[in-house]
Amino acid sequence: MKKLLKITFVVSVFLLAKKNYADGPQYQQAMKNAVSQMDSAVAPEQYMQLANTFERIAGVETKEWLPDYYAAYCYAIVAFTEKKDKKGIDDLMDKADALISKADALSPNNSEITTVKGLINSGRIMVDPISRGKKYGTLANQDYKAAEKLDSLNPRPLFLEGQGLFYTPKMFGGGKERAKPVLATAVTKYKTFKPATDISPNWGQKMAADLLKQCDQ
Amino acid sequence: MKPNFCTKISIVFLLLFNALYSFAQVTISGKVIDESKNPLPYASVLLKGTYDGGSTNDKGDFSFKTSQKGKQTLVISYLGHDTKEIELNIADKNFVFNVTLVEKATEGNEVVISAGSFEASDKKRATILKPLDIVTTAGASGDISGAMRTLPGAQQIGESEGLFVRGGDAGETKTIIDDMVVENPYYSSIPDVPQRGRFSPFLFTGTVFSTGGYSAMYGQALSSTLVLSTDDLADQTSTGVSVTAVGVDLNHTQRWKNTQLSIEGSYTNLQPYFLLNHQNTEWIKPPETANGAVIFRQKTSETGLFKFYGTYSASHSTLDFPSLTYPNLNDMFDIKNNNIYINTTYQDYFNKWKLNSGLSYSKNEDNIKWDTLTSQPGYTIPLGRIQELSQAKAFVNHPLINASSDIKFGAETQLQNFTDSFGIYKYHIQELYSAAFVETDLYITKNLAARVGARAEYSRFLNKYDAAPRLSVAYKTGAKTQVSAAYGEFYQTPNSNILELDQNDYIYKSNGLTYELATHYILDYQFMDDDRTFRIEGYYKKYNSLERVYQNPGQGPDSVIDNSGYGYADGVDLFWRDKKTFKHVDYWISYSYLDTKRIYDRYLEEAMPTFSAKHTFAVVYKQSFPVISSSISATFTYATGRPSYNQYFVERTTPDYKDFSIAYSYLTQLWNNFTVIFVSLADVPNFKNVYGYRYSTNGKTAYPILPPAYRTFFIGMFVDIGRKTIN
Repeated sequence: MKKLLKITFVVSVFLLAKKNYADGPQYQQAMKNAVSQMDSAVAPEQYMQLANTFERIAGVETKEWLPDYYAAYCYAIVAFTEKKDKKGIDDLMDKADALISKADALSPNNSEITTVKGLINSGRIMVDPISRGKKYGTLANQDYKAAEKLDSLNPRPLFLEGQGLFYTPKMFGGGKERAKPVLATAVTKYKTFKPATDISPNWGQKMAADLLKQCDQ
Repeated sequence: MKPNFCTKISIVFLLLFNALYSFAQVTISGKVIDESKNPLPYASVLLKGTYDGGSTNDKGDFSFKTSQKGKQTLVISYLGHDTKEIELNIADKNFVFNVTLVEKATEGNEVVISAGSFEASDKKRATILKPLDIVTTAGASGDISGAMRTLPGAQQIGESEGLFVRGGDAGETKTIIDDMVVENPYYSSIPDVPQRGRFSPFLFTGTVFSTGGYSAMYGQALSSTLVLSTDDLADQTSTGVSVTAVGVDLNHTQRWKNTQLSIEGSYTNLQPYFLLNHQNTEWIKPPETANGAVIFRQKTSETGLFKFYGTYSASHSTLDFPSLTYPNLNDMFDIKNNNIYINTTYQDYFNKWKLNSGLSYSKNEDNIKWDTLTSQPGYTIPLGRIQELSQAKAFVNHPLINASSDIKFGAETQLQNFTDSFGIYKYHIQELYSAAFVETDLYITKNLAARVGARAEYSRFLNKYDAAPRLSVAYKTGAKTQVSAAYGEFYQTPNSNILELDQNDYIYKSNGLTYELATHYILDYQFMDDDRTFRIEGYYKKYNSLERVYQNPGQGPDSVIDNSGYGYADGVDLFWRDKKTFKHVDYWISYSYLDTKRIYDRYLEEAMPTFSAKHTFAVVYKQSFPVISSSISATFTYATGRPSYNQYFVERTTPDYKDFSIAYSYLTQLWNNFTVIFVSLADVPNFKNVYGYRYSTNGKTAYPILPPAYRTFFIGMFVDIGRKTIN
């Protein structure tokens, strides 16, 4: 009898505790799921859905910077992968900007956040490369340099810097030869990088390695 | 078994936790669409403040389960649309919602107030030209006015500088930089040699060329305005060098966090260039110019910006041209020019009020020696002209009713001093001009917008006021099409001939003269998407009170100056631009039909003015070859002949005007620095155009006015030293 009472009591308390949603375990679980889905996502639709998921989590976990950060990153990736019209790209980047600013307010001087700011700036070039290349290219590089300064072990700003060089025409200071050393350093840093938690940013390793291979082709 | 106490407690607990944590979940589902009933895919649907929610699929359908109970808020959002929130009370029943989201009004889908104007801007996406387009247009020689002449509305005038718009002369178009009027936008006039603009197109990030119906913010231009906007702070520190067939230019920009300081110096000497290109004009001393400029820009706060632009230039040239007085002889014309121009502006936001203010000063001094050669050697008439302008302007901007609409109002004052000297005689006029304006941009719906304004002006010289209404309406007829109409009154103080009026008084006072007036009526239809633009515009301009100079019977020539002149101009402009159809190709086609007559200045009767052609046609073609880092452009222009009148107003028509110019640019690196090499050839087929005629004293012999040169070759190299992206 006493055992049944004890079990019932423990179960009730446990279930009562679960009702409180501002709780570590649910946040961790939801983020883990979403991040692992993001790591295997390929289609822009998947990134759109993930952006919605991260924003939903951000709506509850108002003190955490990671949900806003990942939502911004997903919106930026949609702009890069989907062949959107020009207005669409700016709309996506504006949304990503708003989210990364929220993340920035929650965690200032954050190397990962600054890196994504640079990613957003570089995405805006796509709308009109000839007119926007110089302005947004410069802004993106300033962000990458700042992110490298904030955390010299972070491989992501180096990877994006190298990616930018790879796709910039040679006469504007880019090209495969210039990109190669930067990407090589990024690949090396990826090998030794340890993310702070299991939901901290850890993307880009495969992309960087693939791009480095292309430099030799 | 009878329930004992323990069992009862357990049952109570079980019932309790059942009530607290019910395994019965409720399903919320539905569809999300837009106003046109299209499904919105991957929209977000969630319960506010919870983890429950999901995305719509590609058909706009969504479905998710929730254990939440009681009062909740369902939030539905989609990029580019207004978010919707729905209050609900969750018990046991499932919910189905069909939600319609409304598209946000943004720059891309709103109607645009644009009747009568062409805009080139880096900031707005939906503009007709980008500033880079101006520099890469063949035949324009990197000159802003040259590029504007490939758009419908500006006539092909080769003998004189300026923009001649829809039957108006160059004085009817005003150049404005950062909302401040520029007195001398071109280098000083030399007979039959059109001058370039003083300002490089690289200075400007926005250009609005209005061919009619321009804003109440500007005045004193009967026909049109060319509104140029300089950039905010430059992106980075950089140095630029350019070496061309005509001279060298060096500029350096230093950028700190909130400050920019730039200095520029250039030297131009056309002597070596004229050795390469044979000139029709007989130069005794080919033009030599030295220029210096300083730019200082400072962010005074998060929203405030102070800009300073100051430039000084000195130039000297001498030429021979057929004498107007003695046939078979040449006149020598020697001109030395000094020009200083300063433009400072300050803008900032105070709550929702935006303040724009500016001060500008310019002084242009021409010292001319005009000599009729050989008839009386050593006899030179020195002529001098000094034009000085000081302007102060301030206006505020405030949103009105909704996010897109606003109201602007402000005032300006200009103090002008004109001095002409002729030998020992000096004539001087001073004008104090003041104006105030108010204008609202009303976006009544996403598809209907109106710009309503009024401008009041006072001229101390004329001692008269005027008040001018301005109205522009635009209606979006489809996703990419719109119809616009504009109406306005445009006044201008006549001052071109008054200096000759009174030779007894040294300071002239106006004598019953009044403002010249042009009333514009414009109607247009436009189709525009990111890569293609089509526009057709019809206009009617009525001119009244134009300045006339004539002879009273029994009195000397030029004895009367009054406002008895009048005229009209009407026509249709067509424009088509396509950046999409052919890969790496961008081309545009302009056509203008102009029907105009006027009696003004020294005209003896109402006639088609010399600066108008009935039909004008231009094609600009640009193609880039990314693989070889090159691009080419070609411009073909055609215009029917223009009239020319001798002293007795007998008409001659020039032959049709034709021009075909090509340009080639190559992008490369010079010691790792971004470099552009630019080569152009103007008048490739050597068309030998005639722009007009000068007449002998008896009016019987006509001397054709030729372009300064026929086929002309130009080469230049620009190096951007700070452009190394990674260091």
